[in-house]
Amino acid sequence: MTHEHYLDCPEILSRLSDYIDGDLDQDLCYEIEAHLEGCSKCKIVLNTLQKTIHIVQVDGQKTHIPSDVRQRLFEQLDLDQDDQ
Amino acid sequence: MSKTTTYDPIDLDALRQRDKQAFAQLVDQHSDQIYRVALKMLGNEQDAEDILQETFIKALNNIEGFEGRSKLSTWLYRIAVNESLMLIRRRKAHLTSIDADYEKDDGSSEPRQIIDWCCLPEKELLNSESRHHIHEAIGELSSANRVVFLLRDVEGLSTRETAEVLEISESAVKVRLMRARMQLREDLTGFFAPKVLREEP
Repeated sequence: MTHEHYLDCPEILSRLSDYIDGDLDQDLCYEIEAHLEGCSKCKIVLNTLQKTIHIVQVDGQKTHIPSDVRQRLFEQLDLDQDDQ
Repeated sequence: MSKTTTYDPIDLDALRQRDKQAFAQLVDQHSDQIYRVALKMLGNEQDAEDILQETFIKALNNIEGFEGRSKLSTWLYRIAVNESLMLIRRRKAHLTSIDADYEKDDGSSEPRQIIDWCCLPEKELLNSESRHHIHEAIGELSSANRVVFLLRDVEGLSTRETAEVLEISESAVKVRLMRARMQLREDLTGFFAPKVLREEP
């Protein structure tokens, strides 16, 4: 695929989320990577965007159902916790 | 990016026959994720517990309606998300649909703050003060964007699975995810930037 014009910063930024998820075609990835080489602003946005996703994921993994909530759930449903 | 959790298969026929052991297995395998989504959707432990109980009561009462075309987890997420959104709507002064909520979003994903805070140690990025701010920042997202973000980036569902839970298109999932991520990045930059500037000589 040949682009008729090079993407500018707003166009690059609007594609970063899909770029992180690997949802873009290879030519577009190459163009984004070439842009990032020469654009520190977009590079910082990419890095902080990836870091944002990472820390929210790690935070999410630390969130678990408290044991008393779990116990009340089994009681409410009239189930035995040792029954699985 | 997706997390893959493998579970022992649950006997669907036993569930449909209201077998208590099969249902206890379902609750055991999925209560953690349903509680987490409800907590992060609603930002309140009591509300999260109410939604958790309501989700499994509805699942128990409607198991005959589960046709097995999607995964059990997808079905449970759909019940929990719908219950959470209904609670959010009930609490608003006037009723708004998820799409109306989405339209309230200013649609701006243009970054305003360009400060690299990736160099901060993970210990600082995830201390209790930072985690508290992360929870607040997630709460600031519109409910339409927040639910997509939680299912994709916290629960690790694929774009297709998220679209299936929310009964929206995959392209709508991608747009809402992009907006949620960019808004959170902007918010967290505002929070972490002073710490970077403080550490600079």
